Amino acid sequence: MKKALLFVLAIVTVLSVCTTVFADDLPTIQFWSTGSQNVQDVFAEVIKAYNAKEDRAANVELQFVLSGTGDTSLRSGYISAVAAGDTSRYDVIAENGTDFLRYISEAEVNGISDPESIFVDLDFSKMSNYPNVKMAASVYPEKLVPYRGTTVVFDYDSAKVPEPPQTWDELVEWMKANPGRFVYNDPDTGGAGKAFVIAAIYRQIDDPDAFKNASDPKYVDMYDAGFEWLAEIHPYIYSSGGHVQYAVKNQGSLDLLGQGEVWMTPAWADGTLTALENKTLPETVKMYQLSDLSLTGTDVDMALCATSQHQDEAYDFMNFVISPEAQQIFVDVMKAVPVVDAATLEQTDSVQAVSLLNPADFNIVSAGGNETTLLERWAEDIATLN
Amino acid sequence: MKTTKKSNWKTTLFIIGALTPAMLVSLGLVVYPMINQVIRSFKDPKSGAFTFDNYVYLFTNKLSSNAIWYTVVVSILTVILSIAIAYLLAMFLRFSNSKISKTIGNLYLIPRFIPSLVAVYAMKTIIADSGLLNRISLLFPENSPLYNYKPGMLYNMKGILFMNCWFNIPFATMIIVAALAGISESVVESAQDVGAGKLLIFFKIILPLSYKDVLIAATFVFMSNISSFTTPYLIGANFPQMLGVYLRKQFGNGKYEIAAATSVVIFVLCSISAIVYLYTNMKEQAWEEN
Repeated sequence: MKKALLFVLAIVTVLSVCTTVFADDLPTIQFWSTGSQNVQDVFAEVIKAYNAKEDRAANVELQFVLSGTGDTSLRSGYISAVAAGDTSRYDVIAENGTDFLRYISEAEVNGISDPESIFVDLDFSKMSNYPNVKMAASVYPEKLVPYRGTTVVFDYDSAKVPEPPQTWDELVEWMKANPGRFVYNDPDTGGAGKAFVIAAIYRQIDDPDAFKNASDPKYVDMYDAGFEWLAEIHPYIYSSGGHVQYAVKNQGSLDLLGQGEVWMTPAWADGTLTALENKTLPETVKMYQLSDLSLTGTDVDMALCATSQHQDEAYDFMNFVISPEAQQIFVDVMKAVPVVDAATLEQTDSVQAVSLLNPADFNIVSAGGNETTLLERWAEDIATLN
Repeated sequence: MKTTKKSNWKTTLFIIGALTPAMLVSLGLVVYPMINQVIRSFKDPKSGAFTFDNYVYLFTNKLSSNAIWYTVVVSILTVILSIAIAYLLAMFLRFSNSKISKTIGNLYLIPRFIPSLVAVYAMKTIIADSGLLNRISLLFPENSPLYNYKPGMLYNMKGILFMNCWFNIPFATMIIVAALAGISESVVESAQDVGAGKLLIFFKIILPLSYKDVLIAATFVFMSNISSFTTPYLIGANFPQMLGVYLRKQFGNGKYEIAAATSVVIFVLCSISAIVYLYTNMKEQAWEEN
């Protein structure tokens, strides 16, 4: 027994000596993000590239939370860390621009006195690559660094739909002529369906500023027409076993499109391009927007946490993320829309494919706190129809 | 005498020492959060005051009340289906010596070793309306009734039940086989010698000697299905949803008090089966005393 203990003790000592010898003196930055698997893959690549740099200011660790089941835990985890004064775990958080609104509103609900202070007001001069960034953060421009963009588009299979509808009214006619061939995913399970529902509802609001100020609580009372429209198209949505079924998760709609069960669906541009590359979607699948209203897109941004003990090092990492080198990785690995001019990147197939998506055309909408109302009402009014 | 006392004292200390980590873990990670949730479920989200509103909402709201009965119905049907099939399978494995029975005996546990997510996706590719079954049916002549057969099993209760059976039959079979193995061959043979038929042997000997284990299997199947998530999330309908999926939705929308009340309902439903389980075990002890 004593011998065994001694042995273990010896091993522990040897190991601890080893690690102190090999570790460098750089601090560790905890970088948090959420999203689908492709986001995790791309950050693994970017962080690997950063940690291999000789002149890096820190070692970055990726803390990734898969969306769909864990995205809320990142938000509430960070807010409880702020509330508890825990400064050890969060340095930088990356999220969709409009999701940061939910951080601030949740901080407020949880009694944090200055909710906006959970993210630092940035000193942009500390990032030498920032002047090249062409995309603006949709919310809190003084706190957020955009690092990629993405948008929801309509995917259609050109082999089955040679002439896709061009306007929202034509889309309804097309659905009625091809029942069961259109699907959007349950908006609670993924952003593509949510973008479709938001566009469908806000386009029915008789106010030109509705999209710009989508988070204004006054619009909640004006959702009726939009929900009526969603109820009108309900019978023409994809059905299985005699019941209309909205796909689960963004991937759910892409699966149905790939299997030929539906011919048209809203989907993320990056998800579509990746699926085309992996051949899980047939080559005949194309992306486009309706001419009278685009589906919503988003800037995806980084924010510096107020709890970070290594803010200067975090600036160095964020500066790397918006460098041409890292932007190339975002485009090549996940078909993201770069925040720098695509012409400055190496012209790979991926760069050319995403060059067609112009961030300036993105219809960026932040429903903010109205989103919860919208999702709940969808679940009660639309999902229960049969 | 002195030495025994000393070793007794040592044994006690050892038992306490061995149990402490488990006790601390269950107090900290099970009991404390559970009490927390129960308290939270009676709180008003804004003022934090005591209220029954969360439960009133849960039992009156269309989505949640449907989720509750739907979950109970799915779980009960899963128990009935999987236990019935598992019992027949277990009898076959126990009382048949054929090659088929031996092969099945070696294979039936495999589903236990497949991660549920993988299994659900795999099953989807088979039973989807454009899945394997449909593709095979496309090989039939166009005028045959089987041509372009669409199973229609996804996104409804049929799909969930089918998948639940897939997961639970091996587990239930495992428990029931163990119980049936305890019935000695000689008991069955002596009954046969005095002219008892197969049905009589089943109802008078096999069933009474194994029903307790069947009940235990049933309670475990029931409990694991009340709170299941993966299967209903991926192949369930948009409405009604099972409680696990509904619970996640409430968390996603930041309705923590409603979510806590939902957890308490799940806990109460599970407790009912836990009581059945405990009762069955206690009864066994009473029988052993006699």
